[in-house]
Amino acid sequence: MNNLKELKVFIVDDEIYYLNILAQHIQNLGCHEVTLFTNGADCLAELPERPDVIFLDYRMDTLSGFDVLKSIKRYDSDIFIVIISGQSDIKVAVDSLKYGAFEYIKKGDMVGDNIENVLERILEVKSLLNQAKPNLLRKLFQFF
Amino acid sequence: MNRKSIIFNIEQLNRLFPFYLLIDKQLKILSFGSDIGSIFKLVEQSKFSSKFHIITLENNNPTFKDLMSLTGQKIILKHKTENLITLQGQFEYFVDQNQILFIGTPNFNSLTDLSLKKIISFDLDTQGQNQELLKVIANQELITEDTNKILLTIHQQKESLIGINNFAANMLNQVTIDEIVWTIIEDAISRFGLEDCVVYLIDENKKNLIQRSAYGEKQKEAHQILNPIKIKIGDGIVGRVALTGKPINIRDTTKSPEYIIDDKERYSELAVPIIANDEVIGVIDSEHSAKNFFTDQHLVDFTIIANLTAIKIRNAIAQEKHDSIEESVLRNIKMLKGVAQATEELVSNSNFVTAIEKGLEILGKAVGVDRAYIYENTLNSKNKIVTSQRYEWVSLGITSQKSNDRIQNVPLEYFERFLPLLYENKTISMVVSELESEFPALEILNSQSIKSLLIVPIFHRNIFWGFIGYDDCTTERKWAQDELLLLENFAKSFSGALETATAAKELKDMALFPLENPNPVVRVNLKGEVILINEPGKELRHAEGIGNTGIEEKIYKRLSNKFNSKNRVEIFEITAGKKFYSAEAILSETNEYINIYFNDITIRKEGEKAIIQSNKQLKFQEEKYRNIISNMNLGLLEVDNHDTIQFCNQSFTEISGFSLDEIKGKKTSNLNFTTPITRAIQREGINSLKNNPDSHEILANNKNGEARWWLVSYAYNYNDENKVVGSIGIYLDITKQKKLEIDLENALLKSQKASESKELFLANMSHEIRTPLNGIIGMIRELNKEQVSQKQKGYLKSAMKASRHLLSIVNNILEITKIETGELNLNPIHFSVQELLNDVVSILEPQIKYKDIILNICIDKNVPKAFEADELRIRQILINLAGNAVKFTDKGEINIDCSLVNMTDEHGCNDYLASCTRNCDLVIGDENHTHLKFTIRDTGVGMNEQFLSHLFEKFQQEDFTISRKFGGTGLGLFITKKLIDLMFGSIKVRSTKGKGTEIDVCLPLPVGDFSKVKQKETFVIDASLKNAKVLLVEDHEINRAVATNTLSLLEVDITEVENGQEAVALLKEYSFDLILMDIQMPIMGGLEATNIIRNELKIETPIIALSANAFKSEIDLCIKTGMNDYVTKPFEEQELIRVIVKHFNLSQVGKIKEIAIPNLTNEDKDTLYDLKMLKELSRGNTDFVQKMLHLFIDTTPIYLEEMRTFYDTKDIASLKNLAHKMKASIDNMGINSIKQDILDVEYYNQENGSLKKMNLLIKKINKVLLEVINQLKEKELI
Repeated sequence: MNNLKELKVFIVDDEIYYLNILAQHIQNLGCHEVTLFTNGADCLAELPERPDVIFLDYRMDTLSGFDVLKSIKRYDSDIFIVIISGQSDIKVAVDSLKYGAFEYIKKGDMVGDNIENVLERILEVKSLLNQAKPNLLRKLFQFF
Repeated sequence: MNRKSIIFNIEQLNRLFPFYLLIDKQLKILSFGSDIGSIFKLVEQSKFSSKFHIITLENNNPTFKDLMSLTGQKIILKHKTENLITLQGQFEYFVDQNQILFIGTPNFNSLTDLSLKKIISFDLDTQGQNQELLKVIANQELITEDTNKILLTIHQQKESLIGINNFAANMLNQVTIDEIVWTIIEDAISRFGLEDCVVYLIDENKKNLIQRSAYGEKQKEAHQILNPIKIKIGDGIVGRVALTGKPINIRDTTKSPEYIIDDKERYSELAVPIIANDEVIGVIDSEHSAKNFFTDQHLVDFTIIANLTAIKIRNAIAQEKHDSIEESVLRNIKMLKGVAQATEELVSNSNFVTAIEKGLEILGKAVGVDRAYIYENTLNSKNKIVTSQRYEWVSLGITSQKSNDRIQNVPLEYFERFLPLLYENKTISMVVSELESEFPALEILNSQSIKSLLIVPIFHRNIFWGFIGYDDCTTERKWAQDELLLLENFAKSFSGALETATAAKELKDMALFPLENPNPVVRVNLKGEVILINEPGKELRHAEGIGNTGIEEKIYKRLSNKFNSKNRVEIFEITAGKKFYSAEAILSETNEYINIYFNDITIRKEGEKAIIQSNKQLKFQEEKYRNIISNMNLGLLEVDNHDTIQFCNQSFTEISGFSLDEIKGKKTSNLNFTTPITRAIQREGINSLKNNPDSHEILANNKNGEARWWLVSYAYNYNDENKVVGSIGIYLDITKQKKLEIDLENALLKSQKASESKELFLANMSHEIRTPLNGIIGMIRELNKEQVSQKQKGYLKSAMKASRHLLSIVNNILEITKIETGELNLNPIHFSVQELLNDVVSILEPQIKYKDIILNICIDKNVPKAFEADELRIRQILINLAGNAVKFTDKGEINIDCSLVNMTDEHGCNDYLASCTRNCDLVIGDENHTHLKFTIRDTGVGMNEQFLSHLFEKFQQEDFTISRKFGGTGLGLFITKKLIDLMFGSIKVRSTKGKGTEIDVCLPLPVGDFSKVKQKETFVIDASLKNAKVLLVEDHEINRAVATNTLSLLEVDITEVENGQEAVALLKEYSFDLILMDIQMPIMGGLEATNIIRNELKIETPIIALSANAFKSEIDLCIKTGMNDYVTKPFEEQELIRVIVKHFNLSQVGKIKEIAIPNLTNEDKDTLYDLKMLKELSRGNTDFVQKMLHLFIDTTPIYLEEMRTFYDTKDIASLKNLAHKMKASIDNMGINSIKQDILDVEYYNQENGSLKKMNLLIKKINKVLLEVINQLKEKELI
């Protein structure tokens, strides 16, 4: 599982235009299994599909990104969650890391690069996990 | 002894005379010489007269008798068909055979002619070496006395040599005295044509002379005389000769005193002694009936005959006496033979030298000596006679002395005592051993081992010429008398040959003389055929220009036809190649030839030609000018030095109406023909012409008193001696032209006036136009703010564009009028150059955005930060120039450089000064002024040279295509120039068509104070303006609406009234914060109202004038009346707002917030989005882009609607949220114009902005996004 192509990615953003922009960025990196959601509820409903990574817009009308994050984590803590936030929400985004988000990405010109960067790191972590699964699992267990 | 002593057989005859003809009585040619036969193709028995005719004979068919009668005369035979060769010779009648013998020599033009007949010159050699020369002389007709003499001499010499030769040969066979004597007589008679010849011999007792043989009329033919005449020695001529032993030649017996006249028929007599062994043994006496018959040559010949015969006679006498001396006779015979052969050699050999050498050899052998030689006497350098060996023969085994120097140039003194004998023509015999030891030549003789020698002197022309020597190296030889006689004879023969050679040489020189003439000499016959030609003549033959037919055909043949016995001379000229010849053709005396003497006259001819040419040229030019003058109707007036009229031509009389008689002798001033020139001539003399221009226009009166305009031009008139005798005036009537000119001038004046009034009219009109235009523009502006369909938007755009263009024209005209009426004043403020340029760039930015242009600004570091000047005008200048640069450049770059003109840099300074238009000195040198230079460079279309000069004129554009393509009014640069002039600046334009333009603008500006530079005036809109009350006074309804619309942005309370009266009435009751006042209104105008408000009502409320009149005078009037500010209609929203805000009491209105009013009326509606980012992201996937565009187009209107709703419901939080949402797509679509606006909405809070501002933002966002959607639909969707 060390290939971007094999990653299953969910993207959640209630702004459909930007949702598509993000999708394009990710697809440009080689991910094929990208599923888009315009709200958190739909996303949560699809969690059984076991996505590897979920890009989550922080500010959404109906269900906030933060709420969705917590729900996902509850469902499967192994899913990597990347918070997408605007310039003005940096503080909140940073906070989200405490709740299990793997990374946060600022909207703006650098978004493409940042996505790539994040995904690569996720792959790295995943491969590490695979190699030392027992240890890591143990460690993880020790956490909880 | 037989008389017919010589008989030739045919063979001998042919050998001797290859040109002989033997003719019988029937005139048949019996035989002929081989050469004559081959030339004329003769056959035996052919008739003489059918083949030949005799030139001197008139009768073409002569009889035998005729021919006989010609015997002894020189005749010329001509063949009837063969013309090239004639024969010259003699007839001889032979009585016995009754035949006539012709012996002749050929006469021909050149050897080449002969070669045609296959005869070579050698064939003619036997005819003597002089044949050719004789011919030449004969042809040249140089038969002068001299040549005659020479010819005669040659002839005689030749005859004599031949004769002697024959004689000697004949003599060999004769034995008896009678035979000998008769041979002598026969020889003499036949050879010399004598009439009488008698030989006398001395009798035994030596007292008397006895006549032995005789020939002649008196004597008849008598071989033996029965009764011989006996003459006593010493008696008469014969007796005297016998006594003295010296010959006597009496040329004229009548003049000889000692002559006894016994026969009147004898006028000449020659008596020659016959001498043997120093003893006279007889006398040969010849007589002739003609005077001067006997020449010196005869004397020589007879002497030779006498000498040759002497020994024979003596021997014969001896034999008669039976005193036989056999041996001596044999030797004599041998010697005689040798002499004969040697003589023949001299005669027949054409080469003189070989003849002599051969002769010497024959003689040497015959005489039996070891060496035979000839010495010639010459004068040496000291003028002393010396003698040198010339020819030599040596016998076998004897050393030749040819190379012996000692025998050359031997002084004659060496002969010592023998010398006098030699001078006496005496033969000297020497025996070396007998010579005394002092004898000078002894050594020379010994060195050649000579035992004995014989020296026979040679006399040539009676001068001791040299000698023939015979050496005997073996024996001391004694020479017998008869031997000596023979050898002496040879010497005489040699002398004859010498004479011949000398004569030949002289002849040759003489013959060559005409041939060496450098001019062509040609002889042609009467048929025009060239007979003789010299070298230059041959050149003539081939010269070009003669024509193909050649000079023979062209000239000679024609020439020959012209001659007859009367016309003997023709003179003519010919051209041959580049040469000219004058020729004189003369018919010869004999009527046979035409001699043509050419004379090279090329030099003279060329001179003549040049003169003719120049004369022609002169004539031609004269003709030309005459033509010009007559055709141009130019009047000509000749005036003398005192202004008196001398002459006028026909044209002048036509022009002036005066005839020559009427004005001749009068002064031009009296006739009102006076010109400034003639006046000057009168005043200062003729020399004043120098100082006067070429021509004048004068107003003169013609004879009828009509005023005429004349163009007059004067020039000096020179006489033959090159002296000025007056002047010549050329008059041209230009009345018509002058009239036209005056009309034109008037028309120009009129048009200038019209132009002035036009400007005034335009200025007035512009005011009238501006008023409605304000309404139009305002309404379009308002309409534009509404939501209209795309189509409607297009219409609005066009309407706006058109009205703005109209406005700019009107404004420009107003501007110009202002400038030209001096209305325009400068309003200096402190400003920053940097900011100024930034402004310019920002204004131009929209225009360059979609062109491939880079706009660079460069400000030199030396440029002060601030200046104090009319920034507005400078900005106007820069925008005009840079605007043009942008307009005319599609690609490349535009640079705006700002620097200082270095006034200390001489070059730059001069450059600048030169370009300053006026009043430079006013500002230059003022320390406070800095010369600021703006350089605007572009890479645009450029201009041509021609247009550059009209660049700053009104309504000028390079051509119509320019205005069609680029637009514009053609007033911008005119105004720019005027503004620069107003600032005492300069502008310089350099441009290359197709390459670009560079413009320098130099302005003398005082340096400003940067601290005083006003910060940018900001547009302030504040909530507290909300309740401000504004009174709008405007009669024009539409304009009211326009103003109201703009004011609504400020959310003020607006009260509208239609005129000043109403306003005054209202103001009496209510108070307002601001009054906007139109100037021209019915009932009461703005100024009147203001006056009342300020002066009567004493209300200080700010009044802002709204007027379509932009003249400063009106503005001044407004301010003076009490108004606070002034806005010209049509106004820009910003401008009105700026002015309004400015006059609100700021303390009243509170906080000020800068806001950028969206310039939605931008004519140039650019593309508002940028899909670059999106496209990058798509990585070429157009489907993605399309999808995203659709998303944007679909969602945006929803958002905008939400936005409006949120604003209307004052749901600021949702609004902000929405803004946040929208921001991402706005960013992504590159909609940069509202990037900041959406952020402003997102971060909106009560503290930093009013709801009003939010409204504006939303409006703008709404408008922009809708526009973007439109554009996307239009341009991007597939």
